[in-house]
Amino acid sequence: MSQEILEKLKKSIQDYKENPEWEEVGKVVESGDGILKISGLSKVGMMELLSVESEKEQVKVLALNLEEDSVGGLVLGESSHIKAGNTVKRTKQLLSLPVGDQLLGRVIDPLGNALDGKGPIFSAKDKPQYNFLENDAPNVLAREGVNYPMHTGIKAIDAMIPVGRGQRELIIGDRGTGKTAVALDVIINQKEEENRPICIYVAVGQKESKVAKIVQTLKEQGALDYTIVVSASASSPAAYWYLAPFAGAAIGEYFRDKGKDALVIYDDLSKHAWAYRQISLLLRRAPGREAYPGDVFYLHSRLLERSAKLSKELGGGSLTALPIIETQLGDVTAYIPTNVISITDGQIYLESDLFYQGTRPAVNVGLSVSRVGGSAQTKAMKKVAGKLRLELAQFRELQTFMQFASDVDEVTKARINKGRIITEILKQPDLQPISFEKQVLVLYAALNGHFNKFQPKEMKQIEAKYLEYFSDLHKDIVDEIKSKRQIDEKLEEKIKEVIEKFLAAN
Amino acid sequence: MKYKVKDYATALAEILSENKFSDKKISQGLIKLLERQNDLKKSKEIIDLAEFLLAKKNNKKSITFETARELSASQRKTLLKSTEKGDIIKEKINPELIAGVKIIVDDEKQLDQTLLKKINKLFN
Repeated sequence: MSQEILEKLKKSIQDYKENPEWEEVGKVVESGDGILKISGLSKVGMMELLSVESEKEQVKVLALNLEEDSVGGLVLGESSHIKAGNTVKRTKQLLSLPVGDQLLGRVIDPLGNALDGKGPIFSAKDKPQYNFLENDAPNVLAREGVNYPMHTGIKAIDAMIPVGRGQRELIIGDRGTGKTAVALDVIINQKEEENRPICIYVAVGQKESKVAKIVQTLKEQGALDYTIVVSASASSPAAYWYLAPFAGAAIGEYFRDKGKDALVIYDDLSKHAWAYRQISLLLRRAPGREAYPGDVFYLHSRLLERSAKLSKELGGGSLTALPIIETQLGDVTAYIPTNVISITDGQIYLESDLFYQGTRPAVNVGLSVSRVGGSAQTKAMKKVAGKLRLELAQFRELQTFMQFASDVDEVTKARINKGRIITEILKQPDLQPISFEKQVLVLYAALNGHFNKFQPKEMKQIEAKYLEYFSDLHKDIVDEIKSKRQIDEKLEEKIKEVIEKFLAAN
Repeated sequence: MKYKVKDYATALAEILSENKFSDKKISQGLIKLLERQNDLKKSKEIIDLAEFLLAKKNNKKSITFETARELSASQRKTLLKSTEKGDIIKEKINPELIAGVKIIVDDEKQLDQTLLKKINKLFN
């Protein structure tokens, strides 16, 4: 071994080539809170990577503010070693990170360094592609309409707020309403999906323990093999919080541009905006509403605009984005929530009241919407769940009316019972996503009144038995829905027959 | 009103380039001003920057030779060959460089020919 090291050193010394060249340099004038003020470097570019020669090591810095006689830089590493007077060099490179299939199943920081203790991501033989963290979004000609579903495995979402591949669907709600749980279910549900998308989970400012738990859950559910976790934990500097979503997008773009489908979850963009506000204030940029800088809208719009369904000429890949926003006391009219709502193609609104009433996932159907997902929904689901939203709205109206009425006729009672059954059907525990074909079967029975004879509280068991009945005895029907993705008259007849048999037996 | 180092230095460089007053009068005036503004501790920074600005105005350069040990007369002569009359020449000793020389021009360009850089390049 020692001989090997000696040989390696000897080779390095022998192969050394002197290449004297003038370097562009500047000097650190001020250093504090992860921000540097640098004099000189008059030719530096925006978002260019700089290198500070501190006493102990070379520290990377990102040029963010280009002023008349100074440059404002964001330290990407340990800033405590940097002192005023240290030399800063240009690298003439934009911030990028290595991307490749080797990232699958790994946990990395926003600069591409492994955080999971599994060793280096790329071997010496690998020649990874380097993707810029800041990249242009595909133009109009490069895109096509969203036309393929991204099944979430959550009945309420797939039926009423369908998400398509290439869409940007916001998950919004107060803390503790199940936003991350929905995102995890989406990742887990991709396991059995056709053309399985690569999932990228970006954790911004989350506790290390929470990230560890998420990674463990994904591992246990067999979802880590096709997932990449980008983590900028609570203890990491604001620079990492700011860069993490862009790193996630850069990784997603690698798969998108290869013609594959990718899904990126930004958990969450509220913290991302806080980090950007902190950096901007430290850089002395002018504060605007709620002290956010003027370009906080552009920050999120340029990030989310990178999600796209590419045209067939460009490989037909897609990048779907599920950004998460945390609201305060359900206020969706705050600055960042309204910004992201207006950027995305719809939102899934999770409500605290529903959550505490036991409706989980706590999706508020009235406030949730998907603007483009409808065209990506399968015909089978469209046929079955087309009237679900209306049925639920009518049920809620009746339920409100019931509070004042003492005597209710049988028809109304039956309608309320059906509404309660549907509400129960839409409840779903964590980490148990259901494939779309099974969702279709359950919703078909519930919406066509086949479950009306049961009590709402029985529905959990009945649903499980019903799905088991189909899977064990009539798998051909389940497979047919999965492959054809639509229900024709013949298939509908078959489903009806099986439901009747099931109802007779229960 | 508080002034920045750059403001003082620009004013000083302009007044020096005009050649209207004696150096003694200018330095006395500057000290009085800094005293009044409670900015005397910035005087070195102001003078360095003014010198730099003045050189730039006259198309001259500010050149710093950073070495591990003091330059010998012959070494200094060799290095000065590449400079022009009127350039501001500074010498700085930094033992961490081990050997060789680092030439910094106008605080913006650098030619690093030190052993420290070579070693770093070799092992990184």
